[in-house]
Amino acid sequence: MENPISDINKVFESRVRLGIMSVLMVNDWAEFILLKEVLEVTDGNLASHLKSLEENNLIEVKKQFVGRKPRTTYRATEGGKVLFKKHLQALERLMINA
Amino acid sequence: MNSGQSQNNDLREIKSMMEKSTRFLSLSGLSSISAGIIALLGAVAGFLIMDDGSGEFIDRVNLESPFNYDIRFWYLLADALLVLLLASAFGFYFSWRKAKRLNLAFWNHTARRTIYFFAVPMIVGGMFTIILLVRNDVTLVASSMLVFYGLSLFCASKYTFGEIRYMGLSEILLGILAGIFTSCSLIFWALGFGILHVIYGIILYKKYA
Repeated sequence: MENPISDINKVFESRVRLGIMSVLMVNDWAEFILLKEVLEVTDGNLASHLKSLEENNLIEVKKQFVGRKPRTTYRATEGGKVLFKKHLQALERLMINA
Repeated sequence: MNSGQSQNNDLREIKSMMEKSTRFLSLSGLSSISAGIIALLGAVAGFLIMDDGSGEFIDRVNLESPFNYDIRFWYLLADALLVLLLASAFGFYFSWRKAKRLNLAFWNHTARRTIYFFAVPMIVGGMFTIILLVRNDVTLVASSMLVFYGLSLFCASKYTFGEIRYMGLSEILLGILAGIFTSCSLIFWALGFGILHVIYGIILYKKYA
């Protein structure tokens, strides 16, 4: 039998990263402020998790100016979506086996 | 905690975050209930305004005769605008309160998106109804208000609670009936804007509050 936890991805192991990916699975481009509101975390904490997801090419970042205000939006990459889906399926399998 | 439980918590959390980020969850059942009560009071006021001295019930729920801009027309218009104003104010208040309790920003992107999809059919419907009023063709005013309001709810329902879709369809149905049975359109108006709001408000309140 295939190892049920082989698809469990270390990179999604924090609640914040799990949350970021959940939001980006259902919203095309999401603003920093939306992520912050849904996840209820501090700016610094959120930014560091976003950074590491970006470094792993799981999400992409777009920085724009709206008037004079900077606006940062995020989107899950195709690869990120695939990995996250696999991660979810692995979680579900683990639940059934538990 | 065993690992099955923690997986389960993860999955539940994922689902809740997906919902929170796509749906306008601050909409309160109390908003709908208060709007319904205000509309019913407005309908009673309309019924009193329509008193032409004949004492006939059926004449007073029939909004079809042209008023030729007599005083009753202006009273009814003021009545309708007052209902719209008060219902919106109470509606916003109760939803704002619920947002505070849920620890959500009230004017977030889900609220903006819901309002946007609600507003487009609503504004078109408002303009169309004003055209009917300006042409002094009041026969289909109640019908058009109900139909366009129903369409607005139907469009917005994708971004908030699913029940709103059935509420929208019910409003559209009542609007069509009001268009067929124009001689008692005030009754359909009271059913659609009054009773239906109260019923769906109670459903939403029980399920989500």
